Amino acid sequence: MSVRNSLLAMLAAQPTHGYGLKSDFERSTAGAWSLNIGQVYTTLARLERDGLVEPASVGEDGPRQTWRITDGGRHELARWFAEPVPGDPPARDELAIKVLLAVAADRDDVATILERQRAATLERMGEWTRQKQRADPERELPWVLLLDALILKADAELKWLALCEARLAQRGKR
Amino acid sequence: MRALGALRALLRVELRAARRNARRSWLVIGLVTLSVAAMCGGGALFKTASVTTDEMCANWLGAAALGVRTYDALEPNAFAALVPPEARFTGYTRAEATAAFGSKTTELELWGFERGALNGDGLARGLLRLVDGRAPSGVDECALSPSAARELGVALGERLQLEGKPHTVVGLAVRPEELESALAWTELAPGSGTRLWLVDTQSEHPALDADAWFEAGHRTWSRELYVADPPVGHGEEFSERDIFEELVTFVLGGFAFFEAALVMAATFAVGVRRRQREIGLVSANGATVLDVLRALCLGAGALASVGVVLGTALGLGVAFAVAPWLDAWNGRWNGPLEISLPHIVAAALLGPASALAATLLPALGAARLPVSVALSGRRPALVATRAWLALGLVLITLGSVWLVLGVRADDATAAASVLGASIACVLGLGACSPWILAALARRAGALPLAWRLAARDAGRFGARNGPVVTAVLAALALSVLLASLAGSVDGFVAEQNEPVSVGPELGLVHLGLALSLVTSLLVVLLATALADVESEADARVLDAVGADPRTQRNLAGARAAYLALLGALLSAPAGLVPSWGLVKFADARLEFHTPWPQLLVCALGLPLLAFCAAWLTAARRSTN
Amino acid sequence: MSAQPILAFDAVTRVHGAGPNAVRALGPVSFAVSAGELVAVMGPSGAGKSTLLAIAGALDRPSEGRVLLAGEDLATRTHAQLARLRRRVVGYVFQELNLLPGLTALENVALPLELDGLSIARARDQAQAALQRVRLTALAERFPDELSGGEQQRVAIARAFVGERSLLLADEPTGALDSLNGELVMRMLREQCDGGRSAVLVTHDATHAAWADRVLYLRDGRLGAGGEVSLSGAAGRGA
Repeated sequence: MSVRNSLLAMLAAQPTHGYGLKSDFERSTAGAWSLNIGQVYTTLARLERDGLVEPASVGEDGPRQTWRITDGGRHELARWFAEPVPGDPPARDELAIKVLLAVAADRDDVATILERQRAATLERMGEWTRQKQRADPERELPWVLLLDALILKADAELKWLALCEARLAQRGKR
Repeated sequence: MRALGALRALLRVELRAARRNARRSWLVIGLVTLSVAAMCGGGALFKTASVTTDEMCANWLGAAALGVRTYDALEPNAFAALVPPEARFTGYTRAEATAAFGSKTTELELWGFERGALNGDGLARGLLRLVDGRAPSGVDECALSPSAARELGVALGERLQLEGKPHTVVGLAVRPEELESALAWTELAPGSGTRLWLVDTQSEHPALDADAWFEAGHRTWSRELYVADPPVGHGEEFSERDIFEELVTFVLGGFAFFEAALVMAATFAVGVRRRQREIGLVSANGATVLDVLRALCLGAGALASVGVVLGTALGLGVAFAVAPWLDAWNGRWNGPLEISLPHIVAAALLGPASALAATLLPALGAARLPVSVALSGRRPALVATRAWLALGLVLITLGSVWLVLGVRADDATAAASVLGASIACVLGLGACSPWILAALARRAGALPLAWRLAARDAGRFGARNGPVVTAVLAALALSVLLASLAGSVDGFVAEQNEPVSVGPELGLVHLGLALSLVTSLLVVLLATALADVESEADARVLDAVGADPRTQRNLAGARAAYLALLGALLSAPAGLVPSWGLVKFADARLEFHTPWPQLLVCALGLPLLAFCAAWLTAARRSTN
Repeated sequence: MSAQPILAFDAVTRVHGAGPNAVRALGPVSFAVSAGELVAVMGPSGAGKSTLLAIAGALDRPSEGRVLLAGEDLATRTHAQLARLRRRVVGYVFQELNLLPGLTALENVALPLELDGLSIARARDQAQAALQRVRLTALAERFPDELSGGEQQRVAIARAFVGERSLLLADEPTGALDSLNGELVMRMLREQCDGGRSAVLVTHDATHAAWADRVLYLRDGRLGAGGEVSLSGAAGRGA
């Protein structure tokens, strides 16, 4: 996850100090992700070294130091926004690993594993959907967008589980 | 109460649907109109052309109650002694004579009447009709029949020789029932002796006097002679009622009614499949089977009623326009158009009845389907088509057997057999049409694209194309029958050594043929247009697939032509069966005639016309 | 939970054809739907979902088993009584072509009420209220071919719930809709069920099934092990 670019984006909106950056980030992601304050300071130092940010006021130190973005930083930020996010090599997916190993080992209870996972994923989806029902897209758009992302990813997982079931059933028939 | 509310809601659906599919609605109304017009107009023309008893009596008795041919020629005074004192009577003569004008001569019948006998309240009024000029007065004047005048080349006001004596032609006259017979009408000198008399006795039973007259050597004829069966009295001057003509009339009339009903029923049957989804949808929302049926009936009945009204007006209008030409066709004075109320009433009842029958029976099936199947639009399996084929073959076989056995029987049975067998055969052919369509569809692989699509479409959707074929078949069958009869009659007339007049009704066979061909053509055009309207959804799919307007038009034309051709081919046996039956009944008098020219014209010409009509109307549609 | 389920299937089976060619489309299946429940039915194609729904709506008869709709055993009902159930208790929404093309949106919604004998005025009033629930009153006088797919489906839902109807059966109502319109339709359904009505929804889209209280999984016509998933959670429903 690009902490550098996130900080640049927030500083581009307005100069902020360290803790401000942390809380801004959490608010923007509706609390789903947060930043370690130490990570914030370390990243700010690296950004200053690269000339992408600079202190906004002189004389303040430590937590009170307000930072702002430089022209170089805006340039870098523009480039980040302009480029689509590259596909990462898939993060290790515990569910996929579980299923693949179960199939490889030819376990009898693969079907049950799939079913249980399906039930659990569906329950999570239900919870997120209920949250979405309560949310107001006008005033809480980021929150709704996040819920959509979570729901659709879970949906992808469910589709994959259904496909696994179907393929296993077909293999069993031969 | 609930049923009323439901009916109101479903009627609204029907009405809106009819308005949205205005073209279809008008085509349906148009076909009903044509059928009803054929019945009303044909009935009126027939009634006008038929000889009623009154007309028959007038032809032989004038206005008198009794006609007498005395043993010897008598003078009026002598004859007066034979009748009651208060009786009125008039004598007249009738003899063969020769007329000459210039270098031309001709044989004709010379009639002599007392002055005034043929006008006003004269006893002979009606025996001859004056059609031009005035009645002769004075022994040197005469009226001539138009046929004789033509033969001699003589005009009004000129003088000719009748049996050597000069007469001035002052008028033209005809015998009402024999327009073409050559005659001359002169005035009888007062006091001349004659053998022919017309008497108006005050006695209530002039027939009773007939025996007394007979004993005295005289011959009489009276109204009873023409009314009673067997004839009463001992006269010779009566015209034999032709049983054959009556049979033909009966069969033709019954057949025509049946065909009209079939056209109307087929029209309403075309749209049934399309309604299936709609029926499913309203059922899913809580309409009962009865609700649906009631609304369908009212909707169909409304369309049919509009058609009945329009058809009656059209039929009577055409009959009115055609009536003046009737005289030329059947050689009698037909008089002003007589409207036949029974035909109108029958048509008014038959229209809605056929519509209801055709709508109800399939709708019952659709309404009883599990709603889910109705909504999916799935159709019953191939089994149904084969069942219909079996039914059709059974009907045709039974009909043929009935016909062959029935013509040998007595008159009434023969009449019923010919009509019944013909109806069975037509129904049988109609029942076979879905299977025929399906069978042809399977073998259509080698045809060019438009024809192949038309054949496949017709076979796949037998439920909506079968009725169209049946309607064409029904309309054309009547024309085929009339053509065959006309050929037989013509053949008969040609074979006679002397000119013979065919009865007044049979004389109309050619006129009837002409009218029926026009009607059939219109039916074919409308019915194929209806098939086209029902296939509109497919046209949209073809558009999407990339068929250009020309292909669309070719397809529409091919479909129309294909259905018309099938209907025409099937109509040949359908119309020839009753014709064969009638001819067999007539024994040696008529020969069965296959009207090859007409059949070829129908088989080739009608599909061609249907193709062009569909091509043109499709062109108009595909540009919007 | 209310006492009596609005819909109950008891060992229901549906077989097409007979003898060696018989095809078992569904069953045996048993489940119940209570008032206020939104139940989703998922499964691969041909699993029997549409058959289940058709039987629930009395559009089709089961070969075996009992179906109880609002406490009434459907098998003992005459055609007329079943029609009455369809007017008053259960509404059906199909994937498409739900509306009669000749009637306006309002008239379409009012149709079950008019079929039940209500006067035009009263039927229109209730139809207006139903359209209000799906927020489509502005389009009441439009004809179906003047409405988008999403609007048509919402009208269909309004009709399915018009008057006092308490059970809605929907066969892939969002199948032809994009995600936003599909979500809108699901919101409507959820609101109705929160208000006390019930719905059974056949869908192949899990994001829509996620709006339900329960999900039934059909495979080869049966609810196998793990065939029922409850989504309610301890937090319960509503705000």
